[in-house]
Amino acid sequence: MGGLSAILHAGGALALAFIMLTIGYDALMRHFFAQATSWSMEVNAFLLVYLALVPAAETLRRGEQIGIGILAENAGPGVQRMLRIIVGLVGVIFCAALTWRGAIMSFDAFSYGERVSSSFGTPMWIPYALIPLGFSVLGMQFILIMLGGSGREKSPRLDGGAF
Amino acid sequence: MIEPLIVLVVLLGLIGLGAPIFLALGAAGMLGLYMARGLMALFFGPTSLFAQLNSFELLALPLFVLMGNFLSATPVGENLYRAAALWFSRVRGGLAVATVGASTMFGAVSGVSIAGVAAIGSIAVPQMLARGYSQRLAAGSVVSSGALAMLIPPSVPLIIYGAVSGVSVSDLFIGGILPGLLLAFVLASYIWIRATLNPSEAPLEHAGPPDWGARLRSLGRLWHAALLVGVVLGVIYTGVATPSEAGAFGALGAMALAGLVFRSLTWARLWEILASSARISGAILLIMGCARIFGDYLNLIRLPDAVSQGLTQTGLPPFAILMLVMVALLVLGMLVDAVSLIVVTTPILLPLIVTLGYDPLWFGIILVMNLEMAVITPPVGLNLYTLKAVAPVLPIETIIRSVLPFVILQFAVLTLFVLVPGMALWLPGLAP
Amino acid sequence: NVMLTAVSYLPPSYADLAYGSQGFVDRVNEAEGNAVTIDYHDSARLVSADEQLPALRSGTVDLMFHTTSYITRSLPILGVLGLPGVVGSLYENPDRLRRDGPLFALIESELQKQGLTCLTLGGGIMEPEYIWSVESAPITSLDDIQGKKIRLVSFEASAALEHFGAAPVRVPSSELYIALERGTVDAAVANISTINGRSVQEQVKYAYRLPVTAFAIGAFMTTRRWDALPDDARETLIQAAEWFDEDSARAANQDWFRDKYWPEFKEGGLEVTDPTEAELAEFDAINADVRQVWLDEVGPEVGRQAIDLALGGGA
Ligand code: NA
Ligand code: NA
Repeated sequence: MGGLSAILHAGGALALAFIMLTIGYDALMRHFFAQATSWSMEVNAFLLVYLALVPAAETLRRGEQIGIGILAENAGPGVQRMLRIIVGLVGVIFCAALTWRGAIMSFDAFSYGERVSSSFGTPMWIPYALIPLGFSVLGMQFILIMLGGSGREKSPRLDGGAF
Repeated sequence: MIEPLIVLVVLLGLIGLGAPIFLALGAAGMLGLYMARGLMALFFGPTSLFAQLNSFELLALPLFVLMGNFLSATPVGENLYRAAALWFSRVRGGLAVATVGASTMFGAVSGVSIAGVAAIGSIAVPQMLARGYSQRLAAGSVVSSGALAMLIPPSVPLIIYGAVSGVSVSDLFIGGILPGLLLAFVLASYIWIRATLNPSEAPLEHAGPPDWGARLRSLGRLWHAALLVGVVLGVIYTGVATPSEAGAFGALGAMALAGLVFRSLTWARLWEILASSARISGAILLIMGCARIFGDYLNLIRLPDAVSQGLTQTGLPPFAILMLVMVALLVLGMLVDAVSLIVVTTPILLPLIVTLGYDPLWFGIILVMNLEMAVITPPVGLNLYTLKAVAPVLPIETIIRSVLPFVILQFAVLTLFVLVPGMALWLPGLAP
Repeated sequence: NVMLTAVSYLPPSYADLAYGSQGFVDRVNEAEGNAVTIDYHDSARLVSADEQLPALRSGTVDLMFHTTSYITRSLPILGVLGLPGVVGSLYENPDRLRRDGPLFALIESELQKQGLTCLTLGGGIMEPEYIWSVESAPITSLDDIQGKKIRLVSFEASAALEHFGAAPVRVPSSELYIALERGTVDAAVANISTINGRSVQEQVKYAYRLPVTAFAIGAFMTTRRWDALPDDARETLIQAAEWFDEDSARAANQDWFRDKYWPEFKEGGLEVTDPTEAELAEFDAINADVRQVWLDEVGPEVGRQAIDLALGGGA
């Protein structure tokens, strides 16, 4: 789990570098050589979905997903544990729902051969697959939080909320 | 109408219990969709999230986050604020005033507000805190002035309003200039008055007579920042890049400054900056995606329509209706993101506004002035969460509390423009 | 009484293109007998343009109004409505796309293979997408296309103009206005409705009416959902579809585009150039390869038949 999460996290960093380089390249080629890429706009917009979902579990593990932790911060250990279980449970259910419906969406797009109606024509099942991928790993992270065995070993709260 | 109330309670309850904001918004939205239409409606979860994030215009966000993080590996921010501290040495709150100025300039580059908050906030907040500014003053000045990018052209919300209303985009752009600058002036004045009345919030660093030698020397260290601003502005105004793409040049330029000029970029540092920028951008994007799930639930049950429709049937005098519209937009703005607010309310409210004898151009400006508040009011206030992500040292509770006086001011300025519609129409009227 | 959730990404302010879908919904909801009610969500509030087809397939949405250019690569048969060399003739003869004609029947039977039922395609394609260029980079002939940065989206438009040396550029429609203003692009291929909707006429000086590509707006359901409807509900929908077929494209093309936008734009200083017969012939001939790519995708037999019907040949 930690390994998978770390790989996805590294993927986020690479995606961001890719976005910066390709958008700069595309704009310069367009302006100075009248040669724009057919894919930069399309692929980079999909990479935003990637950035939101793929590093999300690692961000959660580090306690960097934004939340308001004032209650958890001032509560005793028993209440803190209860809050962790409630929020973790909601998180697992939410992620399961999105993984399930997202997987169907990606599978349908694959079986019906759906593509972007552009010159590049990305097959839609690929970006749609980011949804089940991201939310399944995120859901596992919520399970670890519920069990109390994840990240945040030292302090109950960084600056960013209870988790 | 018990179901929407349950959803709202779940949303606020989850936020109160310390759930991540994205989860509170997403889970409340999914619960609402389920109650409204059953299991089938859960499919709106992935489609809403995907539709919100699959947007080229949003690329400005990660790119400006990245630019800010590269700059944090350089003394550029430090140099900027040292110069500001020297030049504004006798102005109470001078650094926060300078921050409002920086956001106003950034607004002329960017068409969305979170990019400005990301770029300015990551530099300005640490600098202001290091010089003894209160957390609330630092946070409030960044989140409220960051929103000016939506009024000062270019502006994505004004383009969207133009598409929905049929009003000329260039007229809207011209119309946004005066309220944008006036709001900037009012925010800056407020900061100055507040810092004067309560000096502990904004200590003066260099008491005594101005040190002109130091002042001039500090300017010599600003060329890096000037160059970077020149590159970002330059690529847009020469047409090399669109406003969404300009962030790539900002990030590349900041990386070049860190790596080539200041030699502070090892491979390990580069990697850490990329990885942390990806996490920060991802956290904000995930909130945006889940806010859309929540927003689409409200759309499915037609809550914004019902509110707007209700307003058209009050039978009150025109001014009272207008003020009710403003209050309703303020409240809706707490729950709905900026784009939804325009797209959903305009078709219903605009005919009412025109019937009352007002100009659609004027209403566009007024609507975007409402958005200035919408993006800084919880629970759906993206500027708040963006600042939290790029300046993690600030507790989110402090950021949220910091905006109250700024929202009051913005509402006051808005009321002025409602009372005197000529103010918003004056500049566009001068254009040929 | 059956309730159908229907979506359109177009906002009502695009009165030209949204006229048909709103009229369809009103007709169904006001029909006698009350066999079916439509819960209509426009403006992409519930489902964005790109996710309408997946939402329809999943069953969360029962009926979608869609612009065919958004879905031609998922439903290749619809590509015939945007082929260079075909759209000019198809636009001049809207009757060829009527729902009681052979071209519609062919498209419908191909869509059935993908599980979809098309109720109508608006009774014709919308006015084709022409080339709109700025003052500093005029395009008023095929030769002018050489070296110009032209904003376009579809494969067909991209391939068609690359024959003449264009540099195809992708820019999001929300940034088209700024991109033309700043010279990021020299021109755009667009339907006049997009020009009007994004106030692009403020930035362009020339319209070169080369029929590069086009789209129709249709109403679609899944066949599964359609077949499950009671007869009286289907009857109500068909009546609305017949009205849509009569009026949707006709109203947009004539009442808005021809009678309103073109006179207004010309009044505002837009210079309009129509291609010569020779230019049209050259454009049609050189794009045989674009049509071939489409034929390979959709299957040569069906494809040729569709092109023949679109060009007015017998079935
Ligand atoms: Na702006
Ligand atoms: Na808000």
